[in-house]
Amino acid sequence: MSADHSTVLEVKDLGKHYKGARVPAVNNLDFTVGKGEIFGFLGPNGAGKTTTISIMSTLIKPSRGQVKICGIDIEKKPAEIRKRISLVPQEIALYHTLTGKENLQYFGTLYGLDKKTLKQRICAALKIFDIKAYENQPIRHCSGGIKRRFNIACGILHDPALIFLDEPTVGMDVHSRNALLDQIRSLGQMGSTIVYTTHYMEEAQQICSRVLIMDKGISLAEGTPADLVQNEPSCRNLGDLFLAITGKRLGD
Amino acid sequence: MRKLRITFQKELILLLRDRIGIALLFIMPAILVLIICLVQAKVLNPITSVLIVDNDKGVIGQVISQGIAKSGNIKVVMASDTGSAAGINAKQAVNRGDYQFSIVIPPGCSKFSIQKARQFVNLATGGHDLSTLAKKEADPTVKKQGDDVPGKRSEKSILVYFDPSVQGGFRAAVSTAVSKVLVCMEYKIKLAHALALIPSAQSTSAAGTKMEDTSPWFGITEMWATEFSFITMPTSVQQNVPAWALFGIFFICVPLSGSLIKERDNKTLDRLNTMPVSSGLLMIGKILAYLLVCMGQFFMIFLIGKFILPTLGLPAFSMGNQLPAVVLIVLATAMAAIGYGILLGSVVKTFEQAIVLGPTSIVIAAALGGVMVPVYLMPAPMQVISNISPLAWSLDAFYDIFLRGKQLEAVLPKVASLFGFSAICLAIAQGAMKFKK
Repeated sequence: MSADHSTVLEVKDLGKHYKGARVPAVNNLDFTVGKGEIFGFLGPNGAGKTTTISIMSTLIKPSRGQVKICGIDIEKKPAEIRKRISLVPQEIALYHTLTGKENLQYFGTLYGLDKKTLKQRICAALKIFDIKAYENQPIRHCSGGIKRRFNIACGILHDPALIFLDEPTVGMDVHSRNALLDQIRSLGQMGSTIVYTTHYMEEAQQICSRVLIMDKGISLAEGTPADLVQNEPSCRNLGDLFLAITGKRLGD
Repeated sequence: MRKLRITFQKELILLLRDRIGIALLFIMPAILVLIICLVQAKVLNPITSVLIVDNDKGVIGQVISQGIAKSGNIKVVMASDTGSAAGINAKQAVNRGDYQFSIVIPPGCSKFSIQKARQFVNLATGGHDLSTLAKKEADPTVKKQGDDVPGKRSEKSILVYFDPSVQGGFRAAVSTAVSKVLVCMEYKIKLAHALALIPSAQSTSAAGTKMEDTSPWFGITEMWATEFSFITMPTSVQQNVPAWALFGIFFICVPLSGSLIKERDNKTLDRLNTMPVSSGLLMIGKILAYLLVCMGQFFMIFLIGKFILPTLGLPAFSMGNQLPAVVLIVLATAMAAIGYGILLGSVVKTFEQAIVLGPTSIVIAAALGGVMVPVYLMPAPMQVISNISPLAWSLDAFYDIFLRGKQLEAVLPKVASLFGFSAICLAIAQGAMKFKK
């Protein structure tokens, strides 16, 4: 996909070499993500996904290359970028003794929302993720599935241009997982752009419009799940393809 | 401003909902201050109980009891006030450990002293009123009393029972004090009788008036022979209330480092770092919340010292009239503790490391800093070593106010050291966080 007015994320020749490391964690990475896309970011452990997401979300600086979000260079204007993105870590990145609503109020206020807007956005988020009934419960008393929903809800309050969802369904039972996937899909339908990392290939095939498979810091394949599978006759699905191109060795 | 306010509120809520943290910050120092004040009161300001069995019922008994009571730290119990037959069992009462010593005044002492004084005056003035003296000498009661102590017929003996565990120096001090009271009494009576022979003194009653003026000519000022320049003798309460409040304040490093480690481990810190808010503002919100808690801790310990300790028989804690200096010391101490907590939370890898390293380091710093054993009671080399502990700087600043009678200006160098310690801790913590990133 080429960069145009609908491009939300543009990554060019991205590289990251940690001090003292033998090989770069990320090398020559190029890709773009368009508005409203759910972009699957796939790879085995140690592939460089976390490093790439950390660079894109302004947590660490790249060694080389460029990342633009909504046309803004992340290294030049990180403060502007932070208003437009949301990072939802794999861990429940919430305050566990605060209630769900208190967490939403805290993160919403830090995103700079005024009281009225914050109230409306909290109502909307509670509705989207069907967690209204749990809003006054401390997070630590909620089930794993509800915690994960609050985790994502806290990241969409400011209507970000780009959401980084890092393995949002890890450790969830089938029912909760399906419900959450529906909710993520509906976020995409509402126009949110999502970079989605997961180890569940069937999940990526289900909800991602495009995927990028990377290993050892480099991009191995990029395209729609259907196209990628179709181009590899020996593979029946994305899982087979993933194993075929990343090898069957154990990851880190 | 809204971001700062909500961060401050969030930190306060998190702290208040952490029951173990609250117990550590408030209940632990409260219990410690109560226990240690009571225990150390015996060491720093021992109260000695004396039982006075006054079989004389005259002026001697009154003078001895008042004289002993005036010497301070001695609780005088009159056998007649105990409502029991304690007078008879003075020896047993001391032996049981109820009293450190007991003074038994035999009957007729006052009468005897008046007779002796008269005899002295008559002899000194050339034998006036000798008939009266002879009459008194023939009194069978007086003779019998003189026989109480074999071989000492010319004097009355006041009996003092000592607890066998008391030291020789203490026994000598008590005997000296009783002797002093009796000698004073003896001279007073002699003087009164001598003055009675002077016509002018009799007519104006000047002698009687002068006898009432019992204020001493020479006073004794007790000072500690140390380099600490105390103008007020340290008491258990004045020492322990600020000391254990500081100890509690420094324990803030445990929940604070824990909070930082949790934020780092569950990636909340990553989330916050990708939000449109500066990490400095988040840190200020955190610091303000913990600062408020530290002030609350000191205020609570102060209330215990002021209102609860007196109900346990201890003196009330006094902050003196240097409130701004006290507030500044507490603020500086709280900042030092918070700086240390943030440093701890930044350099350690796990929560388990923090809950071991934090309290251990605070206990060591407290021991060095004079919280457990006051610095002025430590041997000289330890007094020098104690200077490395921020708790010692803080406690010494409190001594300046409470025991040395100094003003705000005098504590500024120590306050600056505490703020400096905090700044260094925060700078190292920031460096450690950057390095980890």
